[in-house]
Amino acid sequence: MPTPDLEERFRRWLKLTAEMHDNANFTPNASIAWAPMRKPLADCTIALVSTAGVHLKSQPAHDLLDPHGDPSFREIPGDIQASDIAVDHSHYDTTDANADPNCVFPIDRLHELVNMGMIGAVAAMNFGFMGFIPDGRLLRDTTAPIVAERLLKQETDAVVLTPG
Amino acid sequence: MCHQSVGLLQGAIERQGIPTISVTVRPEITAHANVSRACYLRFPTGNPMGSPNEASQQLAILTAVLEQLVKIQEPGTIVELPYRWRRM
Repeated sequence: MPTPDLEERFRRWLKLTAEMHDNANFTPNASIAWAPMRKPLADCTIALVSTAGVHLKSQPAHDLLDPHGDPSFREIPGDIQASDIAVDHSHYDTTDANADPNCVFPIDRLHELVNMGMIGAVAAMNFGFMGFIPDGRLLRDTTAPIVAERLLKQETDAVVLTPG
Repeated sequence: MCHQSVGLLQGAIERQGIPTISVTVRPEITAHANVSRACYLRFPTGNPMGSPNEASQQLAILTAVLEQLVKIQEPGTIVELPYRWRRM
């Protein structure tokens, strides 16, 4: 990857988003950052970060109406269950995700992997975003670095990220 | 857009020295996002980890993703996982 087919699909997606959103601005990372794995998975504390619009049922949903999107995040403790989560997103069908949040935020499965000994622990805090942010700079320059720093401070060994 | 946002979060986290891997169902976007490691599933938007209430499938996918977190050594690698979508 990328293949010619993916290139064509990418160009179509860019065109479509530009037509639909005046403020669309595709924002890749300037370069590929790389951090090596430093310990075996069985010793790692793993965090989940999702852009699927996950939040605790006790927390407010993201703003689904703002045409600029909503770069705020929700802190999701590692000791909750999927049944504590609701999913709200303006740009995909959340029926399956609300029927079983593990479709987008596999927190119950992560607990099972701890019990099986495959990973060491689930991180104390995990993070939920709502990924519809047409100008990626809004996320890059505001909340993304804050969450990255919080993950570092709580001594997260590795992170699994999921989209909607 | 979700995939652009995943990519930016992934980059920010990796720059703090924490290794990351993402799941993608839109590889054409992920391939341009400049991320360290990703797993591609031919699944619909809204189901990156599989079908609802199919714990064994979700567990197999999450296990495969974590295995790739260890296995991938080349920055920017996207590995397709051999699962096919079917409505459970």
